[in-house]
Amino acid sequence: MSVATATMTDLRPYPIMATIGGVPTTVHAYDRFHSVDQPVATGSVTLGIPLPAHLGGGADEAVLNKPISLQEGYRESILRPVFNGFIRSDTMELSRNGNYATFRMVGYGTLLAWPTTSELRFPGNTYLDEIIRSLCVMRGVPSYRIDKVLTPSGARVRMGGNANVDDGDVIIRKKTRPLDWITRVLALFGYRAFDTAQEFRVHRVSGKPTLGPMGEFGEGKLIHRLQRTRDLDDMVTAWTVEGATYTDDDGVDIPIRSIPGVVPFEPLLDPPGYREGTISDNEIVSQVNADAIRQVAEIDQASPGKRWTINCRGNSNFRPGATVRIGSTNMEAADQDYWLMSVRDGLDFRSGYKATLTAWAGGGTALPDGEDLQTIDVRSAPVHLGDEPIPWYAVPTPSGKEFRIPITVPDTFTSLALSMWLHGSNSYLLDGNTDSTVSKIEVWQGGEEAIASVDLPVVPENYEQQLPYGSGTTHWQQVRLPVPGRLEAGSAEIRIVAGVDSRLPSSTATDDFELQKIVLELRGAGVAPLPGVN
Amino acid sequence: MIPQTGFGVPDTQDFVRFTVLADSRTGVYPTFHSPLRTVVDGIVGSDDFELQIMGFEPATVTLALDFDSRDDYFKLQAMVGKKHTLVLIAGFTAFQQDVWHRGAQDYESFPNCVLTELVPTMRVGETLGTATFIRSSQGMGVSSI
Repeated sequence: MSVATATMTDLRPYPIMATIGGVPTTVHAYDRFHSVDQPVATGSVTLGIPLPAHLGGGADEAVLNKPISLQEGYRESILRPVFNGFIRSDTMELSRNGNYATFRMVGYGTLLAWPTTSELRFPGNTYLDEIIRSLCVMRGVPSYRIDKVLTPSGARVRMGGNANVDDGDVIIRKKTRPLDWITRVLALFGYRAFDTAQEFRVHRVSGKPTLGPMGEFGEGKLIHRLQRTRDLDDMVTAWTVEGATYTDDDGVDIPIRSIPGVVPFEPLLDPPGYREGTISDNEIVSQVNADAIRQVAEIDQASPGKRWTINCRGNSNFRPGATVRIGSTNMEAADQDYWLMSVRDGLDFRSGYKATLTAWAGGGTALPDGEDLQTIDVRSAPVHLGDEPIPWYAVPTPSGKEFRIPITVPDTFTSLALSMWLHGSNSYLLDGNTDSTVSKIEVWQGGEEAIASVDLPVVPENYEQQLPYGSGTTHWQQVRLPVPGRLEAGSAEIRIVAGVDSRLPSSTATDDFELQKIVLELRGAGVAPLPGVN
Repeated sequence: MIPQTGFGVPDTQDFVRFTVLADSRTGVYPTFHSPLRTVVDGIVGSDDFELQIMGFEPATVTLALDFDSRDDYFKLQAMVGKKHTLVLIAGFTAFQQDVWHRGAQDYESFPNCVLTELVPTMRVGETLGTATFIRSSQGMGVSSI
């Protein structure tokens, strides 16, 4: 651009329109910081001493904790709020450079910041945004706007609902700051809770913004200074999300876990071509939420984080969570929309009305879900344990007192369970017999002792009825049993061991029963298929 | 004729009279000065710039004064930091205030002036000083931004 065509934009900032305790108040200067990463906004105003009459000579009750509101703008446009909140602290200073009072301000979010005095319990499957709305009402937040919290696939996020964790309820523990709970849980889903100039806000800040930009920045467009930083240290391409571990109705420990089904090779991280990360939070009690949280992390951190810093003139229209468009021909960065992450601005007579903005956008994509649950079909055909040929059994001839089945374990697992169909097991225990050994299943992996042993349930044999066990599973019982211990990757063996009723002659003392469709469930260590690794 | 120019509360004992002297080199009487505070920022990647107009600085004037007596000088010196009315001969400055007439002379009053500085100037047989006054630019010939 030639100097001949250069333009001058002349701007006339209004005096700061401030009210303290609802009374208009002259202030010399202000600054404020609103950020999606700072739930409670902060700022300060400077006044001359002596203070105006309505501030009671600076008495505690006349200044501290008073509501304060600031508006700013240019005479060429309009005034808009730049801060609403309360005076949290003050400093008064007399010096040869002048006598001034500085009031430090906090936004409405501060009302959510003190710990609860009792446990807060919400019904299971309550929408997350409804919980937050309830907390705002409970704490008397004067103005708030809570967006619906959605997963990347568009489903509305519900919390709790797992009957095996806190009876399905959502619990905010005693002595917890609601704001901490809100920000922690929201961040999992790519949402933030933060003060804006007008209200307490919950807003998505994840992936790319979808609303149109409220400002465009680049060479020749508003910028006094423009800076871009990129950092590979921010990148993670293989996320594992770990939630609560609960015990299901069968007594099996179920760790909530989400892993990607595939991890693409990432040249920017070569070697090794990927980076792993883990998100752990006991607030995650459903697989749906765990998968959504992993997808959010993939969207936001699977590409180099670009963070822009913009110095420009102040604008009361700037608010965190809005969309801005940034491009730079010199940096060869095409115009792209970003989230406005923070707004720091201020006005004083000497320096003018200036702002520093930061902006960011996630550049990754969600990966398909992986499967943490792995199953091994130990044996599908019926097997008869015992010592007595029984014609109406599926397999009339018994296999003896013990039946061994070798298996191969693909990885290390921390939560094991066996499911099967059976009949007749431990039936001799029904009459209070305590002089017998118990039929059970053992898991062996090297060594001279079983790493786990599970007693089979007591299932009536119904011997006199001579039920047709070979015709389907009508007379069989399906059971699922937790298996304590852990299995390492490699060879292992499942051993079915029949108990002995010591009251009977040795020829018929062995417990007769049948099993079929034996499946070993393994959880807790499914791993993402990392490029070049597995 | 006793000059009616001075500083303080007119027509009371708290008014110090003095004569305003022209600049010894230029022969010109100084006038109130109200600079505009501006902040300029260049727009990166262009020749454009932004000009923020923050408002007028306070109006100031520095006058060379001739006192009838040393008592008057010290009386004015005691008023440094005080806010009173500055009375000058009408038309003395570029700015017009309330004009009133006494004797054969028209005067103008500039209320709410603060005397910020008084520096003595030695000359044998005379009591001289240089005084600086400051006041709001409002009504000093500048329009509000």
